[in-house]
Amino acid sequence: MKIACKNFIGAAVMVALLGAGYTASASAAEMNHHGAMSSDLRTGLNSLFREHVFLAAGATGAALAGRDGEFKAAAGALDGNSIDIAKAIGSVYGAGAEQAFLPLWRKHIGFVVDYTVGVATKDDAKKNKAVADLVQYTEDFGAFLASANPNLPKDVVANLVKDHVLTLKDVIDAQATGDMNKTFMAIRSAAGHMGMIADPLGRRHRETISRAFCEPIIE
Amino acid sequence: MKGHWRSAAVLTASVLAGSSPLHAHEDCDDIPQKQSAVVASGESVGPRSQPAAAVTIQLFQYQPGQLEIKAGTMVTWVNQDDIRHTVTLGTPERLENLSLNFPAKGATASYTFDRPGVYEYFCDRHPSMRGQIHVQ
Repeated sequence: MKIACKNFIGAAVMVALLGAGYTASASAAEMNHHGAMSSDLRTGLNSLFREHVFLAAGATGAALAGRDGEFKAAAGALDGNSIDIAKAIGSVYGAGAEQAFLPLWRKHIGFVVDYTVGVATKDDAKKNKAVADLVQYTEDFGAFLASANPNLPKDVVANLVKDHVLTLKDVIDAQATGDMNKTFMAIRSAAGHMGMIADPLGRRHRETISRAFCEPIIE
Repeated sequence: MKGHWRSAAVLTASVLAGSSPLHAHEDCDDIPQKQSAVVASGESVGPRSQPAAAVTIQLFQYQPGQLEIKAGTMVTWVNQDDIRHTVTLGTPERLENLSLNFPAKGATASYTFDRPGVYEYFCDRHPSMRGQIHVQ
């Protein structure tokens, strides 16, 4: 009983963190339903991560075509998406995690911009450096989430993010060729992949809460 | 502040429990893990009367981010993230001459701050990670 109470307190703290801002419309009743909240997290992250791909593709496409005004607008919207993703992370792992996550997330966008500039200027050294930076970044991202939630193995997360980097690279490479069919196929593929990151994050979070409540996980 | 760092921040990680502190490293990147493990275990480190404080490196943050201590206090950092971090003195724009390296989860290292002042530090791999120590 002692253990159960301890777990309940831990879960209650996590529930409180979840309710802190991720879903503005969440009612008190919803907060008591941890399964529904984990589902919200998964759905929310899926939506935000896919939006990330579409906005990033909009920004890189505009940059490669030299449409400066469009690039700036897309980059601004992309940063708004980054802030929302950080808020989603913060809703689960706290304000400190949100603050630490945002610059980490923005960092990879900077590397994608570097890669795009390398493609635009046909600078292979810049492209290679950007790819190396992005690969190193995946380790950081994996370590961050593993630290936030021990149920998220660093290597697994790092590999998922590596795939995101590669699928987004395919988008930029396709945009550079001017082949619109290839470009939009690549964008669909990159957006579709994001579910492979959001789903485990939501699922692992749900497992963490279920363990805290000593309840079985029912899919 | 550069001079302060060099002179005031004396590396005090002990080689063995109860042994004398080491003294000023020019390059602290190669601090042996064995030295700092003693600090992590909570066993005696340095002079018994020396005040001590701890900072945890977790979730890409120094916790606490700001620390107020008295001169002569030994601060120990512990890396709880599964990635390399550093405690590099100064800011990315204004580097100081010392850097503590925490190559992996569980790595620890310590410094004793002998002179009053405000000491800023950051992680050179993740420059958004910032910490500050106010020494009275």
